[in-house]
Amino acid sequence: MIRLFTMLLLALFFGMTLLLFSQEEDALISKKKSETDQAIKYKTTMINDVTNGILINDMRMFSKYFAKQVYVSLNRDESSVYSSNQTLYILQNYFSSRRIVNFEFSKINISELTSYAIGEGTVKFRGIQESINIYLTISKKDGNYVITQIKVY
Amino acid sequence: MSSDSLPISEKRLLKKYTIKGVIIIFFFLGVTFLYEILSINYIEDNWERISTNEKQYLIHDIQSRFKDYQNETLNILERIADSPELKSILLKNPDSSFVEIFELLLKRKHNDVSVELFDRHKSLLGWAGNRGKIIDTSEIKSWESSFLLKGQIYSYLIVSIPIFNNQNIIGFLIGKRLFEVNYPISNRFIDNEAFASTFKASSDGLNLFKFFVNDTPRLNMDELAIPLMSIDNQEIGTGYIPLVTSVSYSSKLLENINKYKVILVLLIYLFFVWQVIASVKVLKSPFIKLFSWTILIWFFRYLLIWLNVPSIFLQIEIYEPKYFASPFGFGIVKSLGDLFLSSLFLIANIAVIVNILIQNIDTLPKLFDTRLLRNKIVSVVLVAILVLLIFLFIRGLAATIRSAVFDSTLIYSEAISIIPSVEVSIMLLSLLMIAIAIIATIIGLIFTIHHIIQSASGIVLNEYFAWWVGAVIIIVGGIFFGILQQNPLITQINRTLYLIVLLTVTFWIAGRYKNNLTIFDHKFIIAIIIVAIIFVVPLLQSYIQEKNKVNIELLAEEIIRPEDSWLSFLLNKSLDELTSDEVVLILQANEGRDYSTLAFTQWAKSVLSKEGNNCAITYLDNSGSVLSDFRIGLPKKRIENINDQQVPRERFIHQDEINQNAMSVKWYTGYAPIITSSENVIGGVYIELTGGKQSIFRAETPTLLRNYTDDESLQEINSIIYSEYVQGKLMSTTSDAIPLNITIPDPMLNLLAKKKGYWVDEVIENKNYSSYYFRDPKYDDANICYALRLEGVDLKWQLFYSLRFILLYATLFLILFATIILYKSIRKKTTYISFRTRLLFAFVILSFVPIILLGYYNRQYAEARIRDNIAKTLSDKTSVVLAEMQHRFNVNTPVVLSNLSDEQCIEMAGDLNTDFHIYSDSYLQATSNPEMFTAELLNPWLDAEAVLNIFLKQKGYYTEKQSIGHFAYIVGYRPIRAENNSIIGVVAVPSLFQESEIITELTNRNIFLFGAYSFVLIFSFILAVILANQISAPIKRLKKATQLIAAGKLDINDQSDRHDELGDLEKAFYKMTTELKAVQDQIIKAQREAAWKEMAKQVAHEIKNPLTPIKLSIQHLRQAYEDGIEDFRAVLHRVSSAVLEQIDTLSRIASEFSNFARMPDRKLELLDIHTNIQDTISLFSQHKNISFETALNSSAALLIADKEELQRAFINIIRNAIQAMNESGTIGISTILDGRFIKITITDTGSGISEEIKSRIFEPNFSTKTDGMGLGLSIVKKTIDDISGTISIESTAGKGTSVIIRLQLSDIQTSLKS
Repeated sequence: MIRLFTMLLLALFFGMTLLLFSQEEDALISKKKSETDQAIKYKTTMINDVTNGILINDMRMFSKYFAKQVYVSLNRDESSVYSSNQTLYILQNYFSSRRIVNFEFSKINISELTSYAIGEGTVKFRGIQESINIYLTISKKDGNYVITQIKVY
Repeated sequence: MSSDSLPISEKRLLKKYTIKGVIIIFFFLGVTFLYEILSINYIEDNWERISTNEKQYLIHDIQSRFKDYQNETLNILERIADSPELKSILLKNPDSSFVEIFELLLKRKHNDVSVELFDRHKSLLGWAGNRGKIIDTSEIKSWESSFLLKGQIYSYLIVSIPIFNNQNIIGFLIGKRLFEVNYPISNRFIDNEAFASTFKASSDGLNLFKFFVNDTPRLNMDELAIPLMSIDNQEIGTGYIPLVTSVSYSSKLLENINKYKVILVLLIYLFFVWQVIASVKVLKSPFIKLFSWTILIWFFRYLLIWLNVPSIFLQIEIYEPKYFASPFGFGIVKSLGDLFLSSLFLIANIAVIVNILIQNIDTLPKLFDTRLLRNKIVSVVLVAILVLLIFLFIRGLAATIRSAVFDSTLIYSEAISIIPSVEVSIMLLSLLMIAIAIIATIIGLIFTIHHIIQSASGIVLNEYFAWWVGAVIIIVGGIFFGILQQNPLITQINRTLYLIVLLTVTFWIAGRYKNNLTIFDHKFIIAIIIVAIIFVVPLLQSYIQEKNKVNIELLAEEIIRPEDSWLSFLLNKSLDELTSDEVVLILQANEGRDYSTLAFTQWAKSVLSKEGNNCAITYLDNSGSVLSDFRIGLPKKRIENINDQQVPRERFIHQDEINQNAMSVKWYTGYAPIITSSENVIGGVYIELTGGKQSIFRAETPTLLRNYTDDESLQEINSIIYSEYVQGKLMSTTSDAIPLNITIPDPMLNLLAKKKGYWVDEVIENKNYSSYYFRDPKYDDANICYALRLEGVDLKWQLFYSLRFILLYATLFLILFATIILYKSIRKKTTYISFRTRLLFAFVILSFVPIILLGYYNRQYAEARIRDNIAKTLSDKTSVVLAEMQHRFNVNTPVVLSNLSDEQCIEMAGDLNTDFHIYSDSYLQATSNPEMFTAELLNPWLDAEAVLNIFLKQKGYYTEKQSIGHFAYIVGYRPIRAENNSIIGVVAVPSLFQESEIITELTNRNIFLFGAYSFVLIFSFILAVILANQISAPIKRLKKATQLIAAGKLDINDQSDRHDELGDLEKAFYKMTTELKAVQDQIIKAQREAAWKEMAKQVAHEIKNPLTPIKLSIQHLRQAYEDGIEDFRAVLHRVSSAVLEQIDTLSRIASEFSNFARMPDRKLELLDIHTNIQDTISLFSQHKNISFETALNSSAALLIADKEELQRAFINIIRNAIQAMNESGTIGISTILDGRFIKITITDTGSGISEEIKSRIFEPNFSTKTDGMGLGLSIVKKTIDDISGTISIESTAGKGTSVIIRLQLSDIQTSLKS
């Protein structure tokens, strides 16, 4: 019995360590290799995911597109360069107190070098309806397209 | 063993309390849920009444606070007005007493209230504090009154009181206190709270309070209007607070109810844990205990996360993701606060594991002594897995530290302060705790590997051999692990060094404690902490440097990112904001209103200020006249009055490109009309906006005008030097330290043509820089390229940062250590502090205190010297400015002075590289920093101290310290004299923008001082340790020797090598022990001889006894044979029987002596005494006339002894009892558990023993029997004594005898009982 528990414990330690190791890898952005001719399609999908994520208040829908470091600027809040992990939590916090009434990206510019999207919408913040603008910058890094700036006004 | 071993009553009580507790808590939970539902319904049904009550409360609260605010101001004024000196000045001729007036007011001034003194005709006599906006003297009444003075940014409460002398008014005193700050920029220098800071009026917590004077309309119908009453009960303003809605009211109530629910759930969990702990404690298997505790601890942690504890109770910033966030572990490190809490739990888990392992240290080695682990293949596989685990743990620790840098916005390398900020300190402490836990685990794994190797080798190894084998496996494995990794987080060399350190520490622990970790002490913990610091600090430094490079590369990307879309968006957004409804209302308000700050305030609230682009904003009225303008970083006005033209009705944006330093810079101009709701155009706003790479550095935006959060991240950006190159030649740079004649060598240019960017370490003007060169990918070649440079972090800086962290750790542990000592002394527990430790403390205090004091005063002195230097520099600068002003403008009359303009000052300041302000009389005439006055950060009125010293006392130069919020600086003043030598104005040069130089200088000094003093401290500490060890070494040796002597060992070697009093003491002590040993040897020899003599005498006597009858029998036989008696056969038979009997007696005598003399090998083991007694009793089952009455305790009684030896002792006692009862009777055997002991009583009903015999009964060879050697009971006593027990006899003659044995139970038995 003791030997069985010894083995079990060792296996548990090993498993937890592997989990730690894999989580560390999971914390990095998953790099999808996209071919040049599918870049536009990929970016469009990205912007759709951002739109849907904002509408249903689920930032994890598009957190996989964050760059390792993202410049985040939020209205009535702070602006700084955050890691992809921090960006997820910061956006979650920000939008948890702001219920999205409507939102869409009205201007989308997709090009090889830099793409951007400008969105407009309405949120309800502490019972008061306010307009919201989101400016998104998408850049190419290490062969992948990632979100490098999120500015919310 | 099961929980049945707990007393049944205790177990029942525990269960009873638990069930009761849980039922009560569930009841309360139910009540809470019911309350929640009923409350929501109640609020919905009665919202009107609740809302009315809330409003009434708010009105009353704010009005009474406002009244208190006024009364405080009034009291301050009354204290000044009651001053006899003031009254006597006012009664005399006050016009000739300006100096006294200023001096008096300055002496009595209050930090929060500025004062102005008027004579009875309401003419200004003097002031102290911030004069600011001029008060309309018609507002000053002949009685105590107050009113509100509203400005664009600052609004004031004005309280005026008349000064009486015998009921005649001789003057008026006005107090001005900040009431509201409408300052749109929030940064660390300026407090944005005035009256509103005295309360939290709204559940929203934002935009708490706005006030308007008199007729200005409300903006928002969702606000509560609260009339503000003056001292003389006039309505002087209205305060507006957002109304509480039913939604926000309900949500606040639900929030509070939720907190109670969380507490109740936690209580249920605690009851559950209480039960589980009671059960787990009695378990035998250490692994099940370990497993259970681990599950309990981490389940509790995740429960806290699920319940959002403690952030539900404590709204503190460290639980927000802005400082740190990682998704690892399903939320256990989703903020800095969570990381800290999780690291505490980890430490608790490790502490529990270590505690359980130490308690079971005796049984653990047996786990490795199994057939499975002796199998070499299994052992190899296990060792490989454990070795891999070690590397993975090291990698995990490195990943954690890396995450602490890359997933956080904490600034670890801020050098202005020696002690890191609170957030950084929390992070460092968390990292240390995690490192301690991981290192303790790795050490455990190394021990495990060692034991497996020992078991598998199957032979008794040299003590160090197995360690060396394990060490080689681990180090070689580490090298391979490093090679095979795709993205190693640690370099190969560092990993190997860390492994060597770990192995060394583990080896030290094993050697010091020789596998007996029951005596582990603080040295063990300190060793692990030191190793943890060795891991954390260098890794942290290397990741910080890596992140700095990553940040620079990010900045490079930002610089080359195409900006058209962004500038266009920014301009459109800004135009929307700058033509908002608020602006419409402002422009629609009264004619003649002061709009001078309109452009600044709207800029400050807009996205332009947040983004920090160079820009200019110009507001025009509907006739095209400029109402207000504000600019940052743009060189000249491009938008002038467009008089006699109506402002355009349509919005437009157009773009220019201008050349700046041979680079083209985009210049956007946008316009939007300001239109009312009835479609009337009442004005317009122009915005000019530039891109340009340098705007990222916001060099033109003064520190005071930057937003708080930008300010923190910009601290790092401002240390970066940005340079632009065209065709390899430097065209512009943001630092004067880089000469403009440097070029990029051709090979580097060629490299740049192929690569997007690369790093280079270079030396420029004897300074080391790490430079990142990059080009704009829009251009195909490297014609235009850029460089971002950071000054190299040399050894001095690296040492400073490392020592800072180590100092923090040392301070925290000193505090912890002191707390433990204090706690123990409060609990009156004696704390053993060794002589060496006391000596060490004494040396440390004696050396540290003077060094620290010296360092502190040195720093203060250095700071004072720097400020003195700056004051001297200011003096020189004011002279230069004054001279240049005279040279350029020939300012020698008030008229000329009054014609000076801001533009002239800006140009002159640019040439002199010095900012300054010019005052005409005591009011601002012109300045090179108009935006500071527009922003109302600086007062256009000359400071009262300057008026007193320059104008009134006619000093040639005056300097004073001033502050804007928390931003302190020095200002130098010189008088401007007319031709007739009268003073017509003042030139003031502030050190406002030299604060960064002061900070840099102080930082450099900090680094030097800190580094130097740290070395001295470390050196002192090492010296203190050496001295303490040297002085205390003889004491330790003497202590050890005394302990050996107490244990009976007198053969101690003289180890003294000292030639002082302690050395003499040691020598005398060792001499004494040598003599004692000689005497002891002699005594032992004599005793032995006496014992042998006695023994020999006894043996001789005993042997003689049977020999005599043998001789007689042989003689008788011989005689019978010689006599030829007829019945010789019978005689022979008789004689031979007698002889054989005597021979048997001789044999028995020989065996008994042999048993006494022999020392059999003992086999100590854990046994249950009750079982032993039962087994002994069963041996006597063949005695039909002997019965046993037992009263044995129901619990097992475990002790360590030789089972057979103990049984022999019991046999001996029982046999004696049987003999005493003449082979018939009842023997009683009982056991009683008495704390850590068991008392065994064996009673017979024999004849008893007299006192005389009782006193000798345990002596060897003493016997009352005719046969036997009298050695039985002495052997029994020896057996009992050897297992630290006692044996005694109680007896009454004729009634019987009781043998009472008292034995010590093992620790396991003791812990089971507890």
